[in-house]
Amino acid sequence: MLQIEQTNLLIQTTLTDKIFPEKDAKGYKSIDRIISDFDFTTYHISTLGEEKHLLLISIYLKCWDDLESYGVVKYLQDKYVQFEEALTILPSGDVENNYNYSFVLDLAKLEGQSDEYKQSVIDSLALLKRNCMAAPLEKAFARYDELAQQYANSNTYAEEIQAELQSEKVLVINYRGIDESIYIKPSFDRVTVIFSTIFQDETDKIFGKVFLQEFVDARKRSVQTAPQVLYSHKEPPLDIAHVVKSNNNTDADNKGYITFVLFPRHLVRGDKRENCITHIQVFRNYFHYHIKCSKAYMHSRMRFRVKEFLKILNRAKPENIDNDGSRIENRKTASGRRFAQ
Amino acid sequence: MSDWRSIDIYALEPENFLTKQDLIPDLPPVSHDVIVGISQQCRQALSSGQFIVALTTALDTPPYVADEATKSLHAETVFEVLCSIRNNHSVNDLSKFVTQLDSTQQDTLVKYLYKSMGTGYGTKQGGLLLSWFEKTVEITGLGPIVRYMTDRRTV
Amino acid sequence: MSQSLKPYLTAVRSSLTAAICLEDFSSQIVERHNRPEIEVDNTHTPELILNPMIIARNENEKILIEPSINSVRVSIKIKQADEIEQILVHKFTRFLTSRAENFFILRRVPIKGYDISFLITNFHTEQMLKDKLVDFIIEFMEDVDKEISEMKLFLNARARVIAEAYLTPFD
Repeated sequence: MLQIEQTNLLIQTTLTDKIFPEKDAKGYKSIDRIISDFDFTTYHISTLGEEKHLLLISIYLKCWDDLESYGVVKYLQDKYVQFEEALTILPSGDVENNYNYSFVLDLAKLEGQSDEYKQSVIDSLALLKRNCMAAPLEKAFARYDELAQQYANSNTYAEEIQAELQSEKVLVINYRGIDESIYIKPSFDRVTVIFSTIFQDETDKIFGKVFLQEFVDARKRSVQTAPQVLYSHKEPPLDIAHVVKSNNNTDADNKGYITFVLFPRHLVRGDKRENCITHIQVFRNYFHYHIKCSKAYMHSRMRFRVKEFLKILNRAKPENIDNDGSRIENRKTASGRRFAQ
Repeated sequence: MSDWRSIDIYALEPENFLTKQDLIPDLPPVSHDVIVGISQQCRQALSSGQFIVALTTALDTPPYVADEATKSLHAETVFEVLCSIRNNHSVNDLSKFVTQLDSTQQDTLVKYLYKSMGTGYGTKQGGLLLSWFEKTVEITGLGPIVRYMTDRRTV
Repeated sequence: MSQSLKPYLTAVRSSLTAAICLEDFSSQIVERHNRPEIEVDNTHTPELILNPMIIARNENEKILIEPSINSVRVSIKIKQADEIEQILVHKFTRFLTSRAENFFILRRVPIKGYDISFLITNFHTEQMLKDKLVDFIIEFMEDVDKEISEMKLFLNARARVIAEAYLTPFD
C-alpha cells in the first residue's frame, strides 16, 4: 500500500450498506456511527429520530474556522448542489452540535434514482474531507489565474511588480492545531504550498530528513515534471516567515518546513487541477505514514537479528542445543540407541 | 590446619590490604632525560636506515617506573619507530623484524602496541598498529598478551 | 571486506582468548560473596584487576577489554559515520540491551564512550564454551556493521521509492 486513498472507506461502506440495501431487508434501520479520519477529523452518521429514511451526515474539522474564511461553505455548496434532490445542505444555524457542517440524505428520495447517481453520491460524500480542504487551494489557484492574466504582458522582473507579488496574501490553514499548518502563496507563474510539520522523536526527525532529501532529489533524477520540493529545518522559508506562529519555541528543533512549488503545468484547469488538489493535501499523512512504516520494518529486522545473535550465543552452550536454542532431547547414537537419562 | 597456631592472623586484617602503590614494581626509576636521549638515539638509527637497531634500542629500555610524561614520551618513540619501519617495508616484512627480537622484547612490543592503540595518535593509525599486532601474535602466540595483562611493569 | 577489518578481528580474537581466563574467586571484602571484580570498587583489592586493553581500528571503531580475576568486561564502539548510522546504532543497541536477560553476557548499560558492553564472569565460562563465546563476540561485531549499513541502504532506497511514487501522479 504505497499511496493513501483520499476517500474515506468507512463512509463509503456505511453509505453503500444504506443506499444499496440487501434485497430481503425491510424498511430502514437506524444507525449512529462516529467515523474518524486524518488530522483529527470526525464524521457522524446517524438517522434522524423516527424518520429512519433521513440520514444526518456531519463533519468536524480542526481547521474549520480557517477554511470558513477561505470560502469553504460556498465551495461545498457548489460541489454538492448537483445532488439536491436527495441531499440537503443544512444552513449553518442547524448544523449538528460539535460539528462544523451537516447534510441530510433522504434515502427514500434516492431510491428512485439510477444506480450511477447513487454511486456518485456515495463517492462524493466519501471525499468530504478532501473537498473541505480543497477550498483554500481552489481559492489560491483562482488567484493564480487572476495574477497570471494580470501580469501576462508585463515585465515580471520589474521591481515594483516583484514587490507586489511578494506582498501577496498567504493563506494559512492550521490543520493540526497551531504547530502544523499549510501555507499557500499564489503568484503569477506558480503556487507555493508549504507544510510545516513536527517530528515526534529523534528517529522520526532523521528518517524524515532522509525521506525529504529524496523528495528534493527526485525531481532532478527521474520525475522531472514534478513540482519542485524544498526542505528547511527549524527556519521557516522567507515567504511565510511573517505569518508563522508557534506556541512554544522549545519545539522549534523538531519542526520542519516542506515547500512544494506548483508550476502552471500542474495547475491546468480540469482534472489535472483537481488531481493536484487531492494529491497535495495528503502529503503530511503520506510522509508520516511512511516514516512509521520504515520504523516498523527496522523493528522487525532488529527482532530477527537479535534472534540470530541468540542462536550464535547458544552455540556456546555445551548442551545439545539446536539452532533455535531449544534443547534436543533423546540424543541417539549412530546405531540408534538412546543415551541413558 | 594443624598448625593453626602459626597462622599469621595479622595478614588477614581488613585494614591490611594492597594499594595501587604497592603494585608498582620495585625497580629503579628512570629519569626523563634518559628517555629523551634514547628517543634521539632511535631517530638517528632510523635516519641511517638501521631499523632493527632502532627497534631493539627502544624496546630494551622501557621506563617501567617513571612519571606519565616520561612513559608517554617513550611510547611515542616506539610508535615512531613502528611507523617508520612499516612505511619503509611491506606488511610481510614485519614478521622478519619480530623474529629478530628476543622474547622479552616481543613482550614489550605487545605492551606498546596496546598502549598506542589507546592513544589519540594511535587510533588514527589503527591499521598500521593492527598489522604489527597481527604479525607479532602470529609468531609469538598468546603468551605476550597474557603477560601484558598480568605484568605490573606497565609501560 | 575492507583492508583493516581482518587484522582488527584477529587482534580482538586473540586478546579475548587471552583475557577470558577466569576462575571462581570469592570477594576478599564481603564474606561468602562472589562479585565480578571488574564491576566493583577496587581501592582495597587492586591486585585483582589486570591491565586493560584497547584495540582500535580507527577513532570510530574500537573495543575495550578490561580483565580481572573472575570477570571480563568487553565494550564495543560501533562505527557511526553519520546521523543516520548514529540513530540506527542507538536503536539497535537499545533493542539488544532491553533483552539483556536472554543474552546472559550482555550488560544493560554500556561503559561511557562505548555503544555496548558485555560482562563475562567465571559462571558464564563454566557453563559455556570459551571459544564459542569469543566467536559470538566476533560475529556480533561483524554482523552489527553489516546490519547497520544494510538498514541504511534500505532506508535510502525506500525514501527514493516513496518520493517518486508521491511526485509522479502530479503530472
